[in-house]
Amino acid sequence: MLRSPSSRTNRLSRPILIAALGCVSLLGSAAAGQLRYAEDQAPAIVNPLFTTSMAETRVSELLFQALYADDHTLASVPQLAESGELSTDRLHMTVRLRDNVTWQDGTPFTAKDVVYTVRAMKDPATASTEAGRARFISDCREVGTHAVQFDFVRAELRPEDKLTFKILPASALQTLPVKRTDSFRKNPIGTGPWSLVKFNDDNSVSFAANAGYRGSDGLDDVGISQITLKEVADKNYQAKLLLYESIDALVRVLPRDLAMLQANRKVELYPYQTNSWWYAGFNLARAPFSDPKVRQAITEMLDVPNMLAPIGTGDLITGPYVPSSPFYNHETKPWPHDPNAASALLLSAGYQRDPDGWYKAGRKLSITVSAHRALESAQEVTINLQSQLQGQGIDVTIDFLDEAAWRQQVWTDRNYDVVLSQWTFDRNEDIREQFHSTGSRNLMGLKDVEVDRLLDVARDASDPLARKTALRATHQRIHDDLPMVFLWTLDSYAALSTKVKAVSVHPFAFFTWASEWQMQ
Amino acid sequence: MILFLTTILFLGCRTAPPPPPDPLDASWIATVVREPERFATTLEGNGGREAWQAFHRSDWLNVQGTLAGSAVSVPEHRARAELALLERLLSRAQGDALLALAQGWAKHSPDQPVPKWLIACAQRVAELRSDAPAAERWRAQAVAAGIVFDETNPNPFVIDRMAEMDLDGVRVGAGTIGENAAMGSFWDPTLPAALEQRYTQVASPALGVGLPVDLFGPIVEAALGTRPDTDDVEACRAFTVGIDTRLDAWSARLNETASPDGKALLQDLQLVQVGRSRTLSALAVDAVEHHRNSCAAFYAEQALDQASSRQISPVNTPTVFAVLAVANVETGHVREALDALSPLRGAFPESIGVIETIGDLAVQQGLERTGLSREN
Repeated sequence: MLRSPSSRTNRLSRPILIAALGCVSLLGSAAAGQLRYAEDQAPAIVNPLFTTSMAETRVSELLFQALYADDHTLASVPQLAESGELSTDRLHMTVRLRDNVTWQDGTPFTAKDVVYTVRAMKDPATASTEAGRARFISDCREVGTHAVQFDFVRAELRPEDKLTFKILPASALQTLPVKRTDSFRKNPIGTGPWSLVKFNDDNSVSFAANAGYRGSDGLDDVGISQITLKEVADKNYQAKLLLYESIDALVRVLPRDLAMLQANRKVELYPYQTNSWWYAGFNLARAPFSDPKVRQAITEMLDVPNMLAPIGTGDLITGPYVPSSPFYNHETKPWPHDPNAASALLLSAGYQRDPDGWYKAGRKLSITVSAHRALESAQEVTINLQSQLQGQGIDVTIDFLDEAAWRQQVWTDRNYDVVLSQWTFDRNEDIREQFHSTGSRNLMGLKDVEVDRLLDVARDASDPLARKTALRATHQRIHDDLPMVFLWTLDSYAALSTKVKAVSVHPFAFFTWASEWQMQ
Repeated sequence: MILFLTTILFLGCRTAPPPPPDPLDASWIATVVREPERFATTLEGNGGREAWQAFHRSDWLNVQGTLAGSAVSVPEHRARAELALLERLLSRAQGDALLALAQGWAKHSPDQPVPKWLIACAQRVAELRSDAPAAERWRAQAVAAGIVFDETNPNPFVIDRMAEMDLDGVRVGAGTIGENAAMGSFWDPTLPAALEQRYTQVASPALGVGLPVDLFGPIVEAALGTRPDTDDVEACRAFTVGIDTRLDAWSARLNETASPDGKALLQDLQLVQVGRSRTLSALAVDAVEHHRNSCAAFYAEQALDQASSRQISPVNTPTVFAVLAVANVETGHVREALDALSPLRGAFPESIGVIETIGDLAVQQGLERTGLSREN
């Protein structure tokens, strides 16, 4: 049973889209200096306190700045900070702020904004998804109009590496706690190179260069005067839109489109190697998935290479890292695809095989697989998964959810059997929030004392080898626990029109250096 | 009079000098496409088809010639030269990472003593790089840490023990972590340099000229223009666009005039893509050797077949991955260097030590950072 309306929608919308492509290319050509880029889904809100998706992260990069940010060598350099002074005991830091920065509404940027942001992040009632990034700060206060003192929970060696969260305007938000529904989400104000002009009716979002922008590098002009984020829900069409010059940039190219785009001389591919991996995660709090034998049986029923083949090239994974990660445990062996062993496991878990499926206490073993509608290639993967499991006696229902339903049903209510999803990590590949029993993103509900211990060891390690060893052991342990079937990581490239010049792409945040880009 | 002038003009047009010959028409690609029989003869007469097939698919460790006796064929020599270059690049990437790891230890892990293996390895790498001040600093630390090599605990670095070893003997340690009583466990940073020496020793420096020497190699630069000599990515991009424009037009003409056999070779062996990739790879190597690392990374990325960028293939040579790793390490993109080296892990066991060392540096650089994660 396929409950998603999207396949029907896609069929219906295809001619309309093709017609639209023609219209856009004839009538809707880009204004000079305008960059149009495609996302699978436009951000629902724009507030760095509540960022959950990569699309939201990228928009935040356009609008907001941090005290420190990555330069081109990925070293932390001052952005809204002017300088920083760490106390000799490394428990306090005074950060002097640039005094020539204004918010996009003309209000001067001051220490109040920094203090407000930290307090908003740390306020439990705000429930910021970024709360973990401020956990190392015990207090923060103004020590002048343009100076802030931070107190740390423990001695910090390089706090500027952590002071990279986006700063928000106290005057625009005013009160604490901040609510996700605050009108700021639709009218954000930042200090970044662009300001948000409008959420348009067609789900696109318009941005314009921020006339008051003052770059920390002394460069105040941005090379691109307007940016338009276009929501193109059907990823199969994004590459075509780029080839028809209806957009200028495509953030993540489907692996199967890479050859076509590489052969086109009007397009250039840029590595955008976010450390992303796919998984099918079990709800460990819900029977029968609380039974490790059932999880292992389902895992061994799946032919994962067969599921990957239709969507492109990538690497299979055995745990919560991509294979190039220093934390990936290459000694961990993948679960075999072994339907006979899977049957034996279900029998030992108390199931009986009837002609139409597996039964226990009169109930048929059936699963609902939930996936976010914006997840690229989700349809192909879930249908393949459904076909494989149904062929082995397990009923599978597929449920594609829009953003609101995904938030509510999966994250808030935890009302799911199995989710198909993808995690993306920056270069630190910190999986603590996903797998520690206290982690804010522990969607599966994993509670393993040994995993917790290893993650604590890794977090507290000041020796890189100790951290590496602990996290490789974590990889093995999580693989054995099977809170999820680890699937694959895909080749990841962005594609931009050759009209966009001086492009360099940050490995995670994408637009970090976009103020230097130029349009031909 | 008018008739005379018309006749002169007409004759003039008819006898206008032909356009100058295109240097690309003298390339190995043109020879293969226009003279398929000569190509076949070249394969058979210089090591055999299987050796060349392995060379073409960048499977350099398995280029085995079929010449009589102990003679070494051209593709074997060329594969060894490619492997020597690969090992040189791996050595540089590992050495860079190891020195950065050792130098960053006090900054990132002040409560932890520098591990003994790291002190000893840093000393040896600094010595190999003829960096006397650094070598002396690390030597002093080694003495203070009680790291002594003597008869009971001999020097474990392969580069110091290889006098009696042939290539296979040097290779024995590849992919295995070393153990030493004074140092503990360590990935030998001298292994790629030792392998480079052995490959260089067994590769003929003078193969002469001709199709066997050029086949599946770079396109001569004279045919492509003058490369930028600064580390300006936009200039390198413009140069690459020029190469592509030139190759696109020329290969279209070549395809039009080729025989069916020539066309088949052009497409099946991806001759233009191979020539382009090897050219850009050579540009990347030249750029890193002149410390133009941003351009080196750009050329290497451009050399890759991005549709299968995690696999060694005729277009994606091991050298491209290694040079990209060097450029990434030296521009601070340490985690990205691990992505670049990932395809080498299975084929080249010596790359594991390189990957582990760069991985340690990546972990060290992230010790004070807060990780970010997002859904989708």
